[in-house]
Amino acid sequence: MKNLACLAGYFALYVFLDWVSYIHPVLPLAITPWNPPPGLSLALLLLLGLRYWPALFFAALLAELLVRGLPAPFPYTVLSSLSLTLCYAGAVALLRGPLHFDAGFGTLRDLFVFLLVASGGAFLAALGYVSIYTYAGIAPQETYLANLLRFWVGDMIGIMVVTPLILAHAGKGFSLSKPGRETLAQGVSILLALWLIFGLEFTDEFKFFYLLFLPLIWIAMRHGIQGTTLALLVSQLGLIGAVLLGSHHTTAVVELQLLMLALAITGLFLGMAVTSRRMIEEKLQAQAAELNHALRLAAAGEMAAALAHELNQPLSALGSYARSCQLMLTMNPADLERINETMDKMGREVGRAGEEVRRLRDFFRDGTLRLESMDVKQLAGEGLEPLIRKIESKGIALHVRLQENLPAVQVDRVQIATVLRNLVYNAMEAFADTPERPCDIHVTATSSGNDWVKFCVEDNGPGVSGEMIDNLFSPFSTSKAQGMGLGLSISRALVEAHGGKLWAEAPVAGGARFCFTLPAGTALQEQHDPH
Amino acid sequence: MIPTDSIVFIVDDDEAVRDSLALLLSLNGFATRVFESAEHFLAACQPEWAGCLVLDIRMQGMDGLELQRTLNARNVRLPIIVITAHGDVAMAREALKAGAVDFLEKPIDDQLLIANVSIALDRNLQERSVAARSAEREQKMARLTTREREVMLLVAAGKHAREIAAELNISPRTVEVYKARMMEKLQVRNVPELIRVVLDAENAFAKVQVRTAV
Repeated sequence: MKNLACLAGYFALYVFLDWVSYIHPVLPLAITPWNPPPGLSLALLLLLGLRYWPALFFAALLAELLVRGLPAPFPYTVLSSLSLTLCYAGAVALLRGPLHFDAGFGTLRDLFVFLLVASGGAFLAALGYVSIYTYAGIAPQETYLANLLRFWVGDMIGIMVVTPLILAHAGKGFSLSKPGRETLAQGVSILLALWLIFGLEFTDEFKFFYLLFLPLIWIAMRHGIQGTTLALLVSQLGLIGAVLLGSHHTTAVVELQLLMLALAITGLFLGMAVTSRRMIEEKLQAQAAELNHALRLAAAGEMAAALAHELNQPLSALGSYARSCQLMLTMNPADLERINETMDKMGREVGRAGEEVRRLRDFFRDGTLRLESMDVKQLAGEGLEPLIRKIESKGIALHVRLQENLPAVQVDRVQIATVLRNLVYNAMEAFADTPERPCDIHVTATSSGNDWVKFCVEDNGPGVSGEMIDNLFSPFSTSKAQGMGLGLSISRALVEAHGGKLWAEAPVAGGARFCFTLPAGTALQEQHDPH
Repeated sequence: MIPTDSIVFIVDDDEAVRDSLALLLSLNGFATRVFESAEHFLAACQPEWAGCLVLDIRMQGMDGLELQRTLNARNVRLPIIVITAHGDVAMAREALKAGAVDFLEKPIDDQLLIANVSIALDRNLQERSVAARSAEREQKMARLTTREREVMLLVAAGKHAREIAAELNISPRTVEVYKARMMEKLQVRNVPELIRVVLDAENAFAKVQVRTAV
């Protein structure tokens, strides 16, 4: 139903455009200096599909009949209409088929392909049309080439003004629906340029034509392809209007149209460049937002798993206390004082559980850390333990070497255990593609001086390739088939929040080594703001 | 029935957890003692302690698995119930392989805990009575002379006095004398009882051998 309405609109608009553009015709062929109907035809077939090609034929026939009053005998009119139909339907078939033109019309490639095919199609159409009438003896042979050029320029400018306009606006709404002051000024600037070119007696149309580029560039930069196509329409209509008002020779009009074609093509490319850059920017922004979200989700997942452990302690105590209270209540006489005391303890445990939950919430709200002084050995244990079985099952040997008498470190245990686990997990994954050799992972903790403890996780896997090392720590860069590549960026952020550093090294013997430092010290700090 | 001299030793570095467990278990009639770390427990541990151990597997300093290994090495035979706040399967498996009674996850199901503690105490009691009997037997066996020992083994093997006499190259009467003295020392009244004592001793010996082989 909608397509039917489109079709009816197409016929009406086709005839109307043909009528409106019927100026300065080169008789007896009735070649006009701008011929918008083919542009309409291309847009129709590109948007609705190639199966509507017969519409082109009947529309062309109808227009010849109604507007031009059959300049040639009927069989020739049928033949020329058929030739036009074949050329433009062929162009669309080429675009939609092997060239994969996207009717969404949003990339420079789309524009380039369209331009190429349209000019080819217009050339063939001109060749067919002019040849048929010349062969029939209706058009003089002497002006064959001139007619060819006129026809081509007329159709090209029609296509360049109409088709991109429809494609750029179809299904996208009308982006200039709220014309602001700037839009108004842009419109005025086009009119001003037209007035300077055509209105002033002392300015030569051809010398001053370039003035039309200025408003077009302005509009293209601001509104992309959608604004450009509108500006081109206004410029073209203004140009035609000026030509109608003035007294120009037909040849001059054709030459002006040639200039207009150059203007249109330049404007379209500029507008499309702006649009495609904007689209890329929008896509990048959406990706960045997505990434941020994923980063937080991944970190939250890790933290939640670790905090589940912390929550289990008070929950376990609570369960036992509650059961104890029940038992004490069944005693005769019930030891009320002891029950009261136990319930006090339950209250404290609830507070402790709440504290753990708050810690998670705080971390994701403002990144605050709960630092506690922690034994390196225990820290290593917490970080590595969940992976030990997995490591063993893969036949990888894990060597943990912790220097004697290491000072305690000031850490948020949950976070640093996560970092350590992450690094070892990465090392483990590094062996995924190299099953045929001894796999070793070394985890070491050393301290020189008493200020820092340095942890290193080293594997003898394939190591980090040169191209990876540059964006190793950026999110979503990963060498793994699965995984999002968030581990290292999260880990680095966590370590840096502790005041430490995390970096990668390439050991001489091959493989990869990741190290991070943590501040030593036993002074207990309640909170630490990393900013 | 809870053995009166049995104590449930609770080792957990989380104060609230060990306090609540001690309260719960004591209300269920168990005697308890709490320790805040594996090191504290080891320092206090006495060979004659009876009961069982409720042990947190992940602690500051020495962890549960290490304590379990140390106790095994010291031949302290307290049954161990391992508890953890992590669902670490690997550690659970290791603990169970090293002889833990069971593995409980926090938050702990009290019914499950009590059932396990009862099983552990039972096991400990049995082991202790077996140990006591074998100690007594060892004592009795130690009083036998070399000759009496030889006679004991041959009698237990079902040989008659005459065969033993021939084998040991002594008179049958002398064999009878050794046999009577040996049976008196071992406090057995007849040959079937003697056979059981000898078999027990052999079993115990075999167990010791297996253990040292491990």
